[in-house]
Amino acid sequence: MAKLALEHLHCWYGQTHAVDDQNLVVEDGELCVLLGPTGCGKTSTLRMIAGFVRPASGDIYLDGERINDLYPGNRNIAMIFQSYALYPHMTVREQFAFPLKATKMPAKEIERRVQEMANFLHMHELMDRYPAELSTGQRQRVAVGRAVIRRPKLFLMDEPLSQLDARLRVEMRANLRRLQQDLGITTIYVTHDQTEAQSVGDKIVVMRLGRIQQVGSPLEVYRNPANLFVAGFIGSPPMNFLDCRLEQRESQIYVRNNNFAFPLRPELAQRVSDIPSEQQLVLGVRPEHIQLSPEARPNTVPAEVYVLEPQSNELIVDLKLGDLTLKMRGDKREMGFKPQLNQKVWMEFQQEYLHLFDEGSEACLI
Amino acid sequence: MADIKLEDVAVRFDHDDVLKDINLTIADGELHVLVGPSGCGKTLVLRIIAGLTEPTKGKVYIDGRLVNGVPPGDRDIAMVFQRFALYPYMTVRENWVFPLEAARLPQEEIEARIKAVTEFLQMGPLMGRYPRELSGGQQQRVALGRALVRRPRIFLMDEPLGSQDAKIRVEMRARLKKLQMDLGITTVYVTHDQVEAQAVGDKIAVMEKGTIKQIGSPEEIYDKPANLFVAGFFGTPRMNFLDCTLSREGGQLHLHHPLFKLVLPPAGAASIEASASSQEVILGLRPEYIELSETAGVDSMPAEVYVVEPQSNELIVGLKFGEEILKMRADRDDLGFEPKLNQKVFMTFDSESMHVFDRTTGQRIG
Repeated sequence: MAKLALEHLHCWYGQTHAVDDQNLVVEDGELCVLLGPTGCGKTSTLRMIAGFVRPASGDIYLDGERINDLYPGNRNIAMIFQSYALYPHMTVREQFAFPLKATKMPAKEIERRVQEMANFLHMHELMDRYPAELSTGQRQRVAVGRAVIRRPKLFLMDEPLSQLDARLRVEMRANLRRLQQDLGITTIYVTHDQTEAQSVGDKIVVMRLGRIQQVGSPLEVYRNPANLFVAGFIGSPPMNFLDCRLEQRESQIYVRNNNFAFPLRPELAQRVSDIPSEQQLVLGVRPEHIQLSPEARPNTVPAEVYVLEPQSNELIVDLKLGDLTLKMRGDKREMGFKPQLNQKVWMEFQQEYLHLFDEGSEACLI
Repeated sequence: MADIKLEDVAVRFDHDDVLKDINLTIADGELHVLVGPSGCGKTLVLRIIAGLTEPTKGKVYIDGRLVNGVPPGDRDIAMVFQRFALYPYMTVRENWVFPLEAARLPQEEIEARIKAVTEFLQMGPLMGRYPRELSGGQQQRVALGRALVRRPRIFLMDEPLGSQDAKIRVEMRARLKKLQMDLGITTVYVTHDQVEAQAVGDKIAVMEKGTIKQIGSPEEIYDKPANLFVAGFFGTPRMNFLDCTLSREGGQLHLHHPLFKLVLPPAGAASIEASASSQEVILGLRPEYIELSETAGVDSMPAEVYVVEPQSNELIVGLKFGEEILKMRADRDDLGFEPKLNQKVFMTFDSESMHVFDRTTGQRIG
């Protein structure tokens, strides 16, 4: 149990600045996800924490102690990998006992701890089985059990679900989430999958090209993305981005581009009143925040149904609007009508969830 | 015009029936998906249509003509494989031009087709590159493009988006669906991914262990799954299954579970009773049709919050119900409260959206 702090951490591979001035605090017991596309620096960060890679500069504190100069084995950190890397020739009991034997713990104490872990993971009947005789979920539990039986201060997980098929991944991520909460061990979890990150994380660190873009809860990174990158990375189908400008007309502020114009509601208009009208903006609207109607209504934008994709209880609709395509998604039952291909429809944007980004800096303005 | 028909097709390797009783009619211009877990025989069906594998028995018709024994090259079919098989010494452009020049198409026609496909696949800046200079995803697009420029009577696609990352896949599947529709070329599309199957398919054939378990539109497959396999294969998280027994009390048909008793709506009750092979049934509930409340209500059942997974605008909640974990999912705004770990909550099942399966046969009975 421990708090982890990274301060001004840098990592270079030759000319590549893999991690660029990383500052991060992970609270005791928290599950913190490092999320980003390939090459964003998430795995390099994990390796520096584990001690496999030396930072070029910066400090790593675990439980208040600077651990930069400790060997990996002396950091009291446990790790699980993509493949669970269980010893094929050992039973579950032996897998659990192995890391303790290496510490020269008395046999009685080892036995007690193994028993305790069996209780915790509900694995009593499975203690004498070999990995080959276990299901994927059971193997995952053994890997977790073996990693945490030493009672490490920190738990590192590198894409722990990436080798599973989609169905199993959805099941396992929930199990892993619950297990981590029960263990209460501070955990760093690396993934490139934004769906998984939202599911398991207390806190998500979105990274790109070695730099942290945003740190926040799953809801924060989804609802209040710091910039265009985070906005486009979190959510599927991704947020729609439309170039636009603001325009003062009579007493209202309009969002406009070549294809549409609609007035902002007063509370929103107030928040954008200091944005100059010549500023190039990007309007961000999530597919789930567009409502469709078969008839024109005030402040709606006409579009044409371009592609229809059924998805379980929902429908994803591609909409053509001049030379733009947008995606919306909604519950089939709540939509109130069944959109047809090439049908003319009217879009209403749920204004409380709209975002405006500065095109130049990509920062989120509202 | 090219419809495809498979009649009683079967394949035996050694003494194994790898395909059994395959009856499939694919209408002209349709995008027909074959979906199932690995080893279900979906790629084999594709190979039979292509003429790469001869069925042990059964007949294959293309455009009303029996094609058993017709070599692949004489079937006017273009195939996109999982492995791309590009010409390594040709640029992207040359890879695409080659089949068209071989078919002696006029130069203008060749240019027009190349241009259209270049735009569709967004390959403009990469046209001069060689396959080895492209990423896996880009190579796959080249392979897809080479099939598309030919405009054959039939497209056969084997996991055509399998190498794309999640974001591009969501984008490409919609554009592929649109392009297929515009070209009107009959397409058979193999995937293991139920999300993709629902999104692209006009019709879906769901396969398991060499047989077809159901054929239908994405809506039919999702809303009225024919059996337990199909019900569990589609949807994320998957359908919840609860063992129940049927009993008739006071003129009403009841579903009994150790923790609850439900009255089945009279409309469906008669057919359930008529088709059930015994009292033993399985109740299927989709996560999105379980409602959650903080307070007890009529017909509500107590459960305990086991795990909470945020997912964009939704929450997926794992609920401990007796010995089982049920999953529900709902829009955060619709839920009206934030479920907390270990909180006691109350579930109600949407009676319109219950599925009843025969426990012995696995078939849907209501």
